[in-house]
This record gives sequence, C-alpha cells and structure tokens, in this order.
Amino acid sequence: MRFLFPLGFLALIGIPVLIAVYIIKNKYTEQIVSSTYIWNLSNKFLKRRVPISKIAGIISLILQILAVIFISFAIAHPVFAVPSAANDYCFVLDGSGSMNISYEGKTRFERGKEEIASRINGTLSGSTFTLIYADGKTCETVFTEIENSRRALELLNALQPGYGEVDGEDAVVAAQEYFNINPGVKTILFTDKYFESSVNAEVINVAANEKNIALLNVDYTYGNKKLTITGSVRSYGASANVHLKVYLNGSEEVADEQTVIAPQTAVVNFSFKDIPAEEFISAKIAVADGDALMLDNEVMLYGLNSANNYDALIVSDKPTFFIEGMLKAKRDIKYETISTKEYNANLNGYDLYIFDSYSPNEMPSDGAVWFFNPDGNIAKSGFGVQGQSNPGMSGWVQWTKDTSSQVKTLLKDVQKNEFVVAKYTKCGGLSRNFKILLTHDNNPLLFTGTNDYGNREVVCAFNIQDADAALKTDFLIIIRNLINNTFPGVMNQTLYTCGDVMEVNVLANCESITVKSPRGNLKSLATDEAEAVCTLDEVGIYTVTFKNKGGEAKNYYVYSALSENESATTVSADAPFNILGEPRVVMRDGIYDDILYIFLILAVLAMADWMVYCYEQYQLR
Amino acid sequence: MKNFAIDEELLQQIEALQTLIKNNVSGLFGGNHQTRTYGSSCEFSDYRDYEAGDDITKIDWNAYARFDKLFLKLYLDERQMHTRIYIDASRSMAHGKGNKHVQALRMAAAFAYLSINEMDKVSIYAIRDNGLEEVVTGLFGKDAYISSIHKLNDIEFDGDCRISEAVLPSTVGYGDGLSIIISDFLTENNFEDAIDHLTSKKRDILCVQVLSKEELNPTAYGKIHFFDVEDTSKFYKKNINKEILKAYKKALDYVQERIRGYCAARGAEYMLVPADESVYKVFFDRLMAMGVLK
Repeated sequence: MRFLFPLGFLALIGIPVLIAVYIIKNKYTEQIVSSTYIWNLSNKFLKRRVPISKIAGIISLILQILAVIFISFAIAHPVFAVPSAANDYCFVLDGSGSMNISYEGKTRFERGKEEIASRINGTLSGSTFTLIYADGKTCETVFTEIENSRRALELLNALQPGYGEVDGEDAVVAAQEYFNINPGVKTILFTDKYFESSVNAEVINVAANEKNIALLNVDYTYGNKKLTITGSVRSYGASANVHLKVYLNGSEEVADEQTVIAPQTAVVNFSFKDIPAEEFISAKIAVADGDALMLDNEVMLYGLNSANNYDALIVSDKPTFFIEGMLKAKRDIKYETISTKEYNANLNGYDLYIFDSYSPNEMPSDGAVWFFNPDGNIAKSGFGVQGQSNPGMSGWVQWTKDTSSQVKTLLKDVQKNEFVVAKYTKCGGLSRNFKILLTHDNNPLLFTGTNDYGNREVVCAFNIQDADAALKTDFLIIIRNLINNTFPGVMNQTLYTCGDVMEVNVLANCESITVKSPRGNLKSLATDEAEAVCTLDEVGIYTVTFKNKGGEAKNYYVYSALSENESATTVSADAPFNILGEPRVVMRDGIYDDILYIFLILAVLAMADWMVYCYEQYQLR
Repeated sequence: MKNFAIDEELLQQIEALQTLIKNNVSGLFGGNHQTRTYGSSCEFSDYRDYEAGDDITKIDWNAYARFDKLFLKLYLDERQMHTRIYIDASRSMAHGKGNKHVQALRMAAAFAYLSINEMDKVSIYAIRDNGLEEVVTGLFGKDAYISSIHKLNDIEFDGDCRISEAVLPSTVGYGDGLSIIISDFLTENNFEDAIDHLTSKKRDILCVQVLSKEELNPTAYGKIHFFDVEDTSKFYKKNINKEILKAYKKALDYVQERIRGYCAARGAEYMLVPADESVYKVFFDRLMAMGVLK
C-alpha cells in the first residue's frame, strides 16, 4: 500500500487536540448538597447497565478520533497494489441489426453493453480495455488500451446499434491484429450469433430464445384499381401462426388479412390478391402479433407516383399516325398537332415537343424535345445537321456497343435485330451527354441526351416512312423505353433492403433533393448527375423531398427493410470467431485506489456521532 | 439572623383548631384535653350505681325519682398535655436556597401556639449531633409564648443530627401529649429507636419531613460531583442523566415509604412538607385530613 498524498496524515494532529478538548470539556462540576444520601441510594434503583455502557461517556470521543483517522486516510489517498490482478481486455461488440432485438425491455445491444460495463467495473485499475465495434457497415476500434474505466464507459455508452449485417470477419481481423500485438489480451465477443468460443476468444451470446417472425421479399403490382401483394414469412423461433394485416393509403382500417402457418425456420409464401384500391399511395403489411424484433414485422409499400398527366405538341406538315400511335400507347399523354407554320417559340408550356421533319429556328426552353428527321441546324439543340444520306436498301443499322447503365436501361428488352434505313439526315457535333443507340456508317441515327436548356432530347435522324423500323418489334420497344426516359418518375423503386443504394432520378427542373432517414437524419443529395444516390443504412421509412425550380416540393416515400440475414437472429455465424496464435499469460499488478468506502465510513461515523449527541441531549432534557 | 417571624393572622386562624390526642392517659389536671377516665369536667359521660362512700353531690335525683334507685352521674376528665417539639438543627437543614430550616421553625412555632391555645405545655428542642438543646421548656400561656418564641431564631443549624442518640436519654414524658419531630430525615443515622422509645412512652408522634424543592425534584444534570454538606467525605460523582434522575425519584419514594411505614406500624403519623408550602395549607388541609387536628 502506498499513499498519493502522505502529508494528509498531518491531520492526525487533530487526535491529541480532540483528547485535550475532551479532557477540558469533561471536568466534573463540584457542588455541595444538603445530603448525598438519596443520591447514593439511587444507585440501587439504576437499571443494570451492559458493560459496553461503561464506555458510553467516551463513545463520542472514540467516534471523533476514528473520523479524524479516516479523514487522514482519505486525504492521504491510499493506493493498494494487488499482485497479478490486472488484465488487458479486448471487447468485440456486435452492432448489427439483430442486436436491436428487445427482450424484457432491453435490446441485445444494451445487454451487451451492460455485460461489458460489468466487466470493466469488475476489474481493478491497471487493466486496459480495447473495444472493437462492428455494425456491418463499419468495423471500428472505439478505444484502444484505455486505462480510465470511466472514460471507457462513456465511450461505450455513446455507441448505438446499426442495421447492417455482420459476418464477424472484419471483427475477427481487427481482434486478431490486436492479439498479434498483445498475446496476453483477453478477447471477449458479445454477439447474438452462435460463434464457437476458442482458446483465445470467449464468446458471450446475449441472445435469448425469443419469438421472431420476419416478413421477406414483399412486392406488389397495381393495375385496374386492384393491388396484389406477395411476399413470404419466416419464423426463426418455434412454429407459429402468423396473422398478417394489410392497411391501405395510411388508413387504420384493415384492407385485407390472413393467417399463415409458419413452421420453424421454413419460408412460407403469402399473397393478397386483387385488393380493391381506387388509388395506390401506400400499403402497410404487418404481422399482427409483434415480436422482439419489430423491424422486420412491418413493410411499407409506396406507389411510384406515376399518375402524372403530360401534354405533348406535335409539329408536322405530314401525317403523324405513327407518332400519335406511339403517344396513345402511353395513356397519360395528351397531345395536339399543329403545322410548322403555326409553330413559334412562344408556344410553350408543353411537357413534350415533337418536331417531325422540321427544325425550328429556336428551341423551346421548357419540356422535352423529340426530333424526327431534322432538316437543319437548331441552336442550343446539342447537335448539328450535316446533310442527307441515302444508303437505300443497304442501310442496315448498327446497334450501339455501349454498356453503360443508362444505355442498358434504354435498350431494355431490345433483341437488337437489324433493320434498314433507306434515307436519313447526317447528324454531327453531338454534345458529350448524348448516348447513341443506332448508327449507320458511323452516323448517329438514334440518340438521346439533354439540350442546352437541360431538357431531355431524343433525335431520330430518319423518317419512319424511310425505314422498315415501324414493322420491327425492337423499334417499338426502344421507342417505349425512350418515352419512359423522357418522362422519368422521381423514384423507380420504393422498397429496398437496408444497406442498398437508393436511386433518385434528377429531373430537368430539379433544384434540390433531400432525404430524411427514419431516425431523422437529413441528407442533401447531389443533383449534378441524372441519378442521385443515397445509401440506406437504417430500417424504416425514408422520406425523399424533391423540390423543383419553381419552389414546389413533393415528398416520396421509400421503405428500407431489414436484411433477411439479420432477421435470422438465431442462426449460426458463417465464420468461427477464432483468434489464432499462442496466448501468453501477461498479468500485471492491479491498483485499487477507490476511496469511496472511506467516505462512506466517514459519513457513518459522523451520523453515529450526531446520534450520540442527540441521545445525550435527550438524556439531559 | 432572624429566620422567621410570627404570622399573627395565621396564629389567629390556628386558634380554631384542636389537637386530637390518642394516648391521653396521663397529664396534669387543669388542662383542656378530655381523657378516657372520669373526672370533674363539665361534660357528662355516663351513670353508675351509687356505692357507699360516693360523693352524694353527684347523685342524679331525677333518675332516683324515676327509677327509685340511686345513680351517680359520671363526668369526663380533662388533662393538660405537654407537647414536645424536636427540631433537626443539622447543617443540612439550613443549606442552600431550600429554606428547610425556616419551614421547620414556622411549623414548630405553629404547633407550639396550637398547644398553648389548648392550655397545654410546650417544650421545643433542637437536635444537633447527638445532643438535645432545650430552646424553650414548659412554655404555658400566650404571654409566655409571645415572650419566648423568638428563641427559635437563636437555633444554630450546624453539625449532623442523630435523633435517637439525642432523644433516648432525655425526658419525654408518659402518655401526656404529642411529640413532633421535624427533620429532613436525609440521613443514615438511626431515628427509629427514638420513635420506638416515644411509642413506649405512650406519646402521640408526628414525624414531619421537610424537603426543599430541589430535593423533591432535582434539576441537576451533566457531570457533577456532589459533596455532603454535613460530611464532605461523603460524595456522589456521576454524569447525571434522565435514568439517574428516575432512580433518584425512586430512592426518594423509597425513603418516604420507609418512614411512613415505620410510623404507621407504631401508630405514629408521618407527613412530607415541602419547604415552600404554606403552613396554613399544612394545618388546615393536610393535618386535618390526616386526623391529627380537627
């Protein structure tokens, strides 16, 4: 034992002072009375007193001397060295999504933290602590070889569980690295997976045998005012009757429900067919009887908001049967046709302008633009006209070999069969953002991009009548894809799995896109690309706020579901938690310097002294 | 120093009282106390048959006329008693602020006047150590009382008080009145033999224990070293607390009961008189209630 402040023992001087005061204070008062006969006789009538009461008169002094001694000790601050009682600890905490499971009011993550805190509190000063935290997205070392247990607990308490999927590999690597440096470390993993303990690593499983049902692979189709929802359920605990309910468009009324028998660990499909729905904004599918892990008991589905109407203007002096048929195929586009003479730049307000064999002097500043067989240069169109080409029946087209994702989307379902273009306009000087889909003799025949106004543009360098394309399925499909590309929705998908990257279409008039996570974190997405992306690292409903340049804002909702692997809370981990290497016993002296007990004893002594004082006052009353 | 003064008003009131003597078998003729024997007082008591040689002046001729037989009228006898008052003149009586000695002198003066008023003789003694000091003896008549009672102020309270040793060798009379012992009785010395002796002499006995307020309800507390005023070798040293004060009360009760019981067993009377209690109350309330006075 040693003392941090030995001068504190100077306080012991207080003891002789106390005794001197006691001697002076406790002098008997001499008094003459007429007779001591009754007083002496009274001794016979005194109750027999226990032997300890003989020291009753000096109890207060004893207590005060003890208090002075303990005060001296407290000031001197004793430090005890406990031989070979300290260790180096490396805690590995699983922060994956399944650690959110709550059992008896505490999540597994909280239980894991409590276990670690208990171990930290149970060790003597001199021990060191290292904490590795893995939540599937990151594997970070929260603190390394920290000796201050209070600081370690603070950092531990600040940790929050993630929603990711953990395979333990990163954590093993991190723990192994630390073990290689310090083979004497005690590595302890706190997880809810069934890892095997190894020689160098102890595994604490914080999971319990809880009921756990997960909704998986939920999808929907909506058409003819009927909604069909499909998906599957899985019980990771015992077999269970799973009662499913569907709520539409935020209503609290159950739109449909059914009970699915889910044997243990088996995946059972379910479907809600043809649920009547005048409109489809959202649908919630929920397990009626919730379980420990609520995150996978509910899935939200949102419509793609495709109910917008578009207006189109066709400028042509020729019959436009094909173009009209093309627009009619997409029922939400209304169109009107005018001659080239009727067109002027003041005609605006349309979502789509189609110029058939006509090149206007001035590009419309709003809306998307399609050109069929342009006959001259157009300012700010992003391309130039270099004359005509007449390959005749030898004009076989070539499909692009571009494999970018945008081109893939545009050529979705296209078989790339050849067809002939007998006559076309030679175009050149294309802006970089244009994607060429069809060429002939290296001349672009069909290409798409954005013009100088930032509006989407499609150029078909030939007349439909000058090609046999109209008879080809591929051409019809590609036209459909181009229309969809011209009128993109903000969201292409509303149901993701946690960890997926969400894509948001950046429309031409987009000013900003912000995403609000289920926990309320706001994130602003970059809008300089055609698609903005955001990684969904939380489970729940994300709100995507799309604001256009006119200041109008609109919310879109996306549901991020828990990973299927994280729903499986009782499955064994794929990889063992095995720390390789020869362990070495490294025991260091622990330090015990807690003086809280001394203060507690002081408090007890003070209270006892006070009680003695009160008792004496009561006695003398 | 003058310890007390005669309260004339009280003396006037005392004149209305009369002492009830139990053992009035003796005494001098000419007193005011009726005895159980027949004598020459004016108070008729009984008849008896006339016998030859009886005083014919006491024959009831009316009875003779009615019964045709001579009856002699008998009258109660009246005797003069001798009241003896013993005052404890030890140092303890005059110690402190209790004024026990003042109360003792007041009581003695009042009892003396009561006896004088009943045409009895009065003797007052002071007991100091083992001696009996005569203060006044054979006092008779109010004039003598007035001229002699001041001698009570001459009593010196000093030394201790051994009552039995003082009383036993003295003349205490026989069956001729009341003996009053006024003391604090706070002593281990023998007083029982004196009571026994007076009892054997057919004396009526009244023990008056005078205690000060502090002795009845001590207020002392804390660490105190008591010394006895009569004998400083006697002491009591303790941290006085509530428990000890309770024990003191019990000890005091014990002493009172011991004296009371001893007296009662011998036909004597015992009375505790606080030093600050009025003599009027003692005489008119307590002594009358006890049957000592009427």
